[in-house]
Amino acid sequence: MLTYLFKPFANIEKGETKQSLLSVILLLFSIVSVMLLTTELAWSSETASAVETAEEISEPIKVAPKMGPSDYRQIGSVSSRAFVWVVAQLHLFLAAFVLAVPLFVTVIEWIGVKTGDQRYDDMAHEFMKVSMTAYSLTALFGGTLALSLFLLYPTFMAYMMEVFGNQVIVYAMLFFLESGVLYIYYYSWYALRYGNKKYVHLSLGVLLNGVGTTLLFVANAWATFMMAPSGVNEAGAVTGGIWDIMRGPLWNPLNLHRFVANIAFGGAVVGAYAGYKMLSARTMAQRAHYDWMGYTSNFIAVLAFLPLPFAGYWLMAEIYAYSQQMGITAMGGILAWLFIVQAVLIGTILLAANYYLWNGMSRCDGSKRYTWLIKYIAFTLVVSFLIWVTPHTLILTAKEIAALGGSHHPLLGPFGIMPAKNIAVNLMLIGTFLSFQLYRRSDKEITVAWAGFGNALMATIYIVAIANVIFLGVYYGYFTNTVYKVGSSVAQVMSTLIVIVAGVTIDTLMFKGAKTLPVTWGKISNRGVYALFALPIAFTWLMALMGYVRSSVRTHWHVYTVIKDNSTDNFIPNIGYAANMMTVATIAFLILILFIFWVASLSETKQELPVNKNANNS
Amino acid sequence: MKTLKNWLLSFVIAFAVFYLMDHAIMSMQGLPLNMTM
Repeated sequence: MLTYLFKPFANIEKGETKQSLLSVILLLFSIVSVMLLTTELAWSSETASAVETAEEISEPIKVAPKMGPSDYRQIGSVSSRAFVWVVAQLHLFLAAFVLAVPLFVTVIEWIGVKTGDQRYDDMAHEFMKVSMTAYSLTALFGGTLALSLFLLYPTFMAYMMEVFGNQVIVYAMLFFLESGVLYIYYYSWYALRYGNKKYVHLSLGVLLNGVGTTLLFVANAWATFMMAPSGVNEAGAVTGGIWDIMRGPLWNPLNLHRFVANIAFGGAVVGAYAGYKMLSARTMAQRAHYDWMGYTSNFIAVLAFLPLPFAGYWLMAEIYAYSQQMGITAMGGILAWLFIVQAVLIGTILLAANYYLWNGMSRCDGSKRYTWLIKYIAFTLVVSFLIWVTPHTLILTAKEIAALGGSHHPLLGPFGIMPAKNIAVNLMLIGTFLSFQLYRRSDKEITVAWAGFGNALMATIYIVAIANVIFLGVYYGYFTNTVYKVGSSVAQVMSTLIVIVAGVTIDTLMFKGAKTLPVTWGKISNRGVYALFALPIAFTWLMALMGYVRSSVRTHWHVYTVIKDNSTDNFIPNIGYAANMMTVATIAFLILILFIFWVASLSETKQELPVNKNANNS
Repeated sequence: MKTLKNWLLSFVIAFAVFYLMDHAIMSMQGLPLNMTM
């Protein structure tokens, strides 16, 4: 029996299907038992409280603490908020990275199996190697964060433990499972290489992502509880079960937004790794390999980034629905400038990603047919970007109001509200997808008989979609009421999605039997590769920025409307201070990433056998 | 002539797709398309 446990995959190739089936069942059994145990732990706290009620033990219901100066501590004269801010931010950067990489690694590995192309498998393995170093760093920052929260905010953390109870143990148990599966997945890469064994390996990848995503959702519940508490009454006493507490109004919007953003962020970071390896490559073959890896990373980052504004829109809409005051604090109050900074960073990301694609077109001579379109895409991106960064409701000084000619600029005012920005965002996404489509077509010579009709249909879909987005935004945004204004933004998003779906479908059909033109990987200019470094820097900064906004909308509450913040830091800092803190966290993460890249490439470096000089001279 | 036919047919298809989509999305939210507001 034990041999199955220790050598679970040994017999699969030998046709001993019964034994291999048994080993898979054993593996599944062990997984299910761990999951049942964790669920049991989560529910036991509720069962216990029910038993106590039945026995009529008269214990007062614990309400939220009223915080006083004695409930806070400091390390010397360092602001507790600043300390936790940086540690939490670094933990989140690293966690986002190590949860995202296995997601696309499993997909790339599966593509490798389906296409039979060994290069995909090698690339997936190399991506995984980079994230392995980051994994232990994530745990170290997580431990530091937990300890510093308990040290600096003991009363608040005691309340959080009171509310979440055994759920935090489930989180810890999931980590044992995550580590176990991660190590088996990474170190069994070459042991489970072909045939059925490869599918066992892929299944491990799926399992790893299942555990990782669950971890993310469990931890998100803590953050969304602080923003929009549920399962407790006004005094903060727990009135519901663990699901009532976790399933607050913002939990699922945040789950979706973070899940998608993690993939985009992870893709951007491994893109920088590929760029770094490509610029330091000694041979043309190495340069070509890392060029292809960089292209794939950028593809993942942009693909995940395209739906991200819509997930963010949903999250923000739910925040407004939960508390209009909270929404206005974020987008029309003290934090409004930060949304303008966000637009600048997103514009940077889209421009860098497009610039990389345009540069990448030089890998193939067939791209000359499409380069005339680039200037129009660039023009659309820049104009849309400028509309997106136009502010509307800002806190202004008297001098600024005089210079502006009122609280809103007479000509630029209309560009400041959401309909104009919705048009701009959708046009930028359509433009980015067009860059993608041109890139994918640049190495194909289409031979299907209906090529003329296909191209005409694709072009008219672009033209009508752009006209539709502008019509919906202008007419419903400025000439009807608010309900129509918000409703029409859904149709705008659908227009963009129709372009993407139609583009993929028409191209897939048109590429049948197409002649493939030669592509020279590694031919891209170094300037194009620099865009791969701009992406993770902009992404990291953006996460620091919007993470601060998400946290700061609680204003002077630890748990919104339940626990007031009475620490010395119970104010929103000025924007300059906040921006400096975000930048400190961003630079610290980039230094850590350089360390991670260096360690990952160190494992391939071998010292040459020293040659004895004296022996040669004699 | 064939090119003109391609473009006309494409335009009719694209216009129909987006017109129907606008209708469907707006009426799903209880907001019928209305050009006189």
